[in-house]
Amino acid sequence: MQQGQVVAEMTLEGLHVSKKFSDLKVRLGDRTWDVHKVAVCMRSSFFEATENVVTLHEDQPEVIDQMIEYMYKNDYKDDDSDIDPRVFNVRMVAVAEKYFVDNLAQLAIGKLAEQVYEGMSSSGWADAIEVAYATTADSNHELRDTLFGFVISRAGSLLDPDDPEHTDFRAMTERTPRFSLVLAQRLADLQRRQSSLSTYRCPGSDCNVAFQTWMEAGHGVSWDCRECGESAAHDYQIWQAYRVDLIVNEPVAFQPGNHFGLPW
Amino acid sequence: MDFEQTWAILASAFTQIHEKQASKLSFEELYRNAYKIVLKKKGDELYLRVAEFERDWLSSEIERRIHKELPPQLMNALQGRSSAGSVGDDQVRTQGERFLRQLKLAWEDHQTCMSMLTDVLMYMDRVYCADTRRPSIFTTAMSLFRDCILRSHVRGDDSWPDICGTLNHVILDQIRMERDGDFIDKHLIKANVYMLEGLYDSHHEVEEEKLYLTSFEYEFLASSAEFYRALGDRLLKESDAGQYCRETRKRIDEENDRCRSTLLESTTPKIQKVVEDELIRYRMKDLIESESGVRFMITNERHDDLALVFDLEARVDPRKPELTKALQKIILEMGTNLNDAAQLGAAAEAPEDRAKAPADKLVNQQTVAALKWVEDVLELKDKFDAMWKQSFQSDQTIHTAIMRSSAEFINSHPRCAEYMSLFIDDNMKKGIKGKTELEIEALLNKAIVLLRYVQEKDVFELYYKKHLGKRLLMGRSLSIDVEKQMIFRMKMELGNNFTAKLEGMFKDMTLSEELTAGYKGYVARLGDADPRRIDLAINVLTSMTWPVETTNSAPDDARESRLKTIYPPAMERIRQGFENYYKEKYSGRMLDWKGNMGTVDVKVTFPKVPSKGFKERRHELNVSTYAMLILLLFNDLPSGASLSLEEIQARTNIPTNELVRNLQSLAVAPKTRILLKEPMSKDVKDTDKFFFNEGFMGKFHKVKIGIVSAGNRIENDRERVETEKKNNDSRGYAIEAAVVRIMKQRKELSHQQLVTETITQLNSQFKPDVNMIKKRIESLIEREYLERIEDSPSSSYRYLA
Repeated sequence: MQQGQVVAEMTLEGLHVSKKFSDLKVRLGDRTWDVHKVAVCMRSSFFEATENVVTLHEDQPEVIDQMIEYMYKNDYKDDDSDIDPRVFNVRMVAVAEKYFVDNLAQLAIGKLAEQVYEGMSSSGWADAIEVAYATTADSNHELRDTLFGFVISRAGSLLDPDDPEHTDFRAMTERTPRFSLVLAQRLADLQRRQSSLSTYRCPGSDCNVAFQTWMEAGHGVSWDCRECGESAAHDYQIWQAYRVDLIVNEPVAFQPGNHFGLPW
Repeated sequence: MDFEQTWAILASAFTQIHEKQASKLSFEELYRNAYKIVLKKKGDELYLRVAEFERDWLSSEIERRIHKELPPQLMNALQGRSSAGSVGDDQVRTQGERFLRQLKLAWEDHQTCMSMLTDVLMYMDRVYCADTRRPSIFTTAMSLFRDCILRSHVRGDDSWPDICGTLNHVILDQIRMERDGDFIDKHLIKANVYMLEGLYDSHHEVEEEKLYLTSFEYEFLASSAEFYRALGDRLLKESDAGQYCRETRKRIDEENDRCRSTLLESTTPKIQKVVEDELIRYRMKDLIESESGVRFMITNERHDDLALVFDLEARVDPRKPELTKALQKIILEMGTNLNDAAQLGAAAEAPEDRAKAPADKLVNQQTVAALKWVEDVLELKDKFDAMWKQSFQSDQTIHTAIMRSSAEFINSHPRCAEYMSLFIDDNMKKGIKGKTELEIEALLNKAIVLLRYVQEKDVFELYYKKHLGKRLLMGRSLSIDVEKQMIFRMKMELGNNFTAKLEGMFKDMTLSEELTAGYKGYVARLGDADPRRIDLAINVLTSMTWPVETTNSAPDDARESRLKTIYPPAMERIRQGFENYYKEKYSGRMLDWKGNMGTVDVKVTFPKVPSKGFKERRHELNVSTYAMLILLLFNDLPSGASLSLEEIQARTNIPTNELVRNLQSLAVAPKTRILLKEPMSKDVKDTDKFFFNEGFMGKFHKVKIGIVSAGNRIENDRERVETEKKNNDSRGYAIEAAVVRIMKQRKELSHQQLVTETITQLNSQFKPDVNMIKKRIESLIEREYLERIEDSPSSSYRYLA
């Protein structure tokens, strides 16, 4: 099927596989990638400024490999190596920042955000957080918010000194003072907000989920339940029918809901 | 990571970059090091170090290189720029170019190095600078170039201008050389201009603060203004106006080119304004009024130069005030000269010849002068029309100016309306002979154009009617068709009202032809085959349509007008016959016979005069109706008998003035002396006696005996006074009619408004005199058409139904 091969090569992906017309060599350690400027330099200001051979240092070959994959395919795999996928994604954010690869950081953060709910061990998260604070700019709030999305939802147990499951996490907080400081601030902030929270149950029938949020007359809150898939957007009056007065000790999910009708 | 260690790597690399030895450097290594510094939150420090590095490099190495190119000799020459033109111009220029080259090089190197540094420091620029809102390191480095190089002083001496000021001087000096005709290195200057364009006066990078604008352009415009002011002075003194215009055009083009090739295009409109101000706006008046100015150009038909003047002034002012003013003045002067010449021509030979030449000859001379005036006016108009098309791009403003001043001088000639009608008359009788249709068309157009200028359209109408009447009745028009075309054009131009009566005259003529033919048939049917029958051609004129002098024989006193002309029986019979025929056709109409208007062919037999050896001779005489009546009297007279003027008048009732005129034609004019007068003199007196001239000898069988002053010619003073009076009367009626029309509609109106509206209404016919309007209003009040409104603050009137 020679015809088919020619057609396949005519796409960027095809060129990537065949390495035909490669005009740029990227080296790292003992690895070399034969790539095409048209793919790589178009998506990265760093590579745009390089010449025909560029030798990288201090990066992970697995990450660079997938970064190049992304440049050709618009996507990469975070579970194709021995690195924990969460750490892998954070490292991808770091190289995206370092080499100014268009849209790669957003893609990586998106992948990371999905992993927040996958219930993986906290030690992987601890590593991811540590790498993030060491290799990405403080101004990358999106990445930090995503990581906190995981941390805040289970701050109680993560920080419980008697909880043996999360010792790695607590060890990490000691090594990463900047993270710890911000975590403390966020928790304090949450505390302040929770004092004005009420508890509502999911409007889905036979759903046991309850959530907490704050609400006043004249405003509304939308709710997408992860358990039963119920999707609701009601104003204050209607939500009162779902209000439960008991304080749920450990809500199944905490989700602030999307406030609407509010001036902020 | 140790900052100092890492920075040392970077600093050494930067030095190599600036020294153009960067080929061995690893971009990735430098990038990584800068990245790590910023990632470790030392971006602030890195930024400051880089800036410091650049400052050091510029103010040591680069400043030295630039200052080296500014030897004291050059600085002195640039300071005392007036002497630069004389001594060592070449050297100054070479040194200046070396300085420009060095500065260009420094700037280009700086840009190249900084763009390499920007690549290395990409992470700092995009993360640290973006987060802390600092300008990019490139921007900062450009400001440093401005501060360390352009604002530095040679040898640290503040009494010299800084490099930026020196740069201005050098560039302006080079431009001066180019303006004086030298070749300069435009690219070199342009490179430096780009540098000024790329730098700002302060760290706020706003458009208005570009160094090009704040430092260079202002000085360029100021020195250019100075240059062009001096040039304008010199050109006005040394060149003629045409050369001045060409030079100015050339200079404007040059400055445009200079902006394109040497400076920036954004300067084009500004420098154009400078040149336009200095060479055109402030000079136009002097230029136009100079000896070789517009008057000279017009006199010598310098159309190209005039076009240049127009072009120049149009650049600075769409109204072209100076050119317009000058043209108006010149047209008015030329027109006034024509007016004076016409008056002079009319009066020229009058004093000495008055005694010898008959008054009629004088009148003829004046008629010639009048026709010449019109021809001259047309020629003048053609000249300016051609100029308007050729030199002034058919510009509307100029057109209006030409129209206005033409109208002004034409109307300042008191007899312009009469002259124009005479001009048409002359052409209708002689002028169009042998002309093609196209030529006639052009002539008619010219006549209409002239008519457009005449303000007193009513006076023109009066004369035109009179002249046309005579042409029609005497069959003097070469082409009735052309006459009708003329009327048609007048109708298009001035409207129905103006031509209604003129058209009526043509209608009468056509009708008269039918009447004549019809009468012939009528006579034939009566069966009266009288062999001595007289052929009758008749013109029936409607009295209101035709000019008054045609329909009234203008008798000297009222008594005469009541007397009826006595026709001999043969004639009387025909008259009666026609009247019968006419009354059959149109009952209730009065026919009034005009003996002064008609002509008759008479066969006359002159007897043998043996004493002189003359045989019997037959002649056919064409005479006026009155002359025929006179001649018929002599039929019944024995040979040798005479009649006195009084006797003739008694037997014919011809009005005295007509009688005198006819007798002059018959007895005084040398070639048509059918009668002899005693005593023989030019004047005709009551007591003169008249004899039949049996010895008359004519060269041709047919003899036309013209009545003195029968043709159209200029009016003599008496006629003119009459015409004026007639015209004033008709204006009076027109005013009254207008006033009544207005008041009928408005009921009440203030005096001022009434006068204004009356003038507006009548403007197309003539320009009413305000005093005349006042008098007419008074008269209408007396006749109780209007009344004054009592106790009204301003004087007002009310219409009385």
